[in-house]
Amino acid sequence: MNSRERPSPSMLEAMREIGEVAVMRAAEGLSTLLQKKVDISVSHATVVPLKALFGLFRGMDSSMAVVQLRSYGEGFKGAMFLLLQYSQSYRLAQLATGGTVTADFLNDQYYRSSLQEIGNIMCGCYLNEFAAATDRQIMHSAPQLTTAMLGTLMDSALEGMGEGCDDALLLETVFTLGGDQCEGMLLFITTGSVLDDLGRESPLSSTKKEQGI
Amino acid sequence: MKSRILVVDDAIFMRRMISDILLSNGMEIVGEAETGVQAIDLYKELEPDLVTMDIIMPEMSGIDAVRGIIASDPRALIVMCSALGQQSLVNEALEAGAKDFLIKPFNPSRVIEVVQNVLGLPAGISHGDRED
Repeated sequence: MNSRERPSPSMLEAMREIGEVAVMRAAEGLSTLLQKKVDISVSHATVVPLKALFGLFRGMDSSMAVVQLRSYGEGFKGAMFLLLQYSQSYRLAQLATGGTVTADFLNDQYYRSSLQEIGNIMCGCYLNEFAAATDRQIMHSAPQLTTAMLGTLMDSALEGMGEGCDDALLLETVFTLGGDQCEGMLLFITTGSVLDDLGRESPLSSTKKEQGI
Repeated sequence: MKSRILVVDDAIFMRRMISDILLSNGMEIVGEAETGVQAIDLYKELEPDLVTMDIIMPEMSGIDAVRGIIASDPRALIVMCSALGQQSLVNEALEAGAKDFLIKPFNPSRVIEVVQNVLGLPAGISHGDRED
């Protein structure tokens, strides 16, 4: 996708559909993992220019926990992030482990690992749906959890991703675990040429119809 | 005698989850490894009855670790732990000598079913009740 063009309506629709199916699968996965009822909804989905994203995140100085998966395949590179405000990461770790989480929980390997696995499932489900929708085989790295100011994190995370990557998909999500809620954001960055494949058709419509979504 | 299991996963959260499932079914966790290299070393040292092996790990992948373990013990019983969408890697691991695989996130009953099957134990019997 050329940076001077904005995403077509069909591309936006396809990316939202992928997001909806992915969070449904992620909710199923997390329910199994955590042995409790988990719902995840996408409250807002949008595609934003990467340059705008840099500016947006540089302006944010709040402490964040970010789970990152690098993805790759033939003619493809990308990265997927689960972004959590510090307070939300605390809440999610507490809900996931069912334990008493201390204030320095992000220095504790067990709690860090619980957030990594949640991010792994969230991001992995999106990448799997994206791979199916674009008929690609996509592999991804082990999840990495980093904590810092968001602007700093994103500068580091997006290093090397800029060339050929014009846009990013932002999915604002709400987790509901056993009646408690917390919020996060999924961010997907890939090369524009890959996103172009989504604009040609809405590949998940038949899947969603089959599943009654 | 309890079945002796080596759990390999780079995520402590997943290691603890797998261990809890296996322990609650009468098995013994003889060791945990968080890299493929550690897995090979611990396998030689501990000689477990079965290994649960994550696929994607830093330093050395689970598939390479399977190759390393099978090279030293061709009869090793290894169950791969794969995330959704990694079917090609699962196939590679099976070709390398793994006996079966589990898809993350785990369903506890499925974990027990697969482990029992690979160990050649009858289903529905706690491993702590083995008579050998």
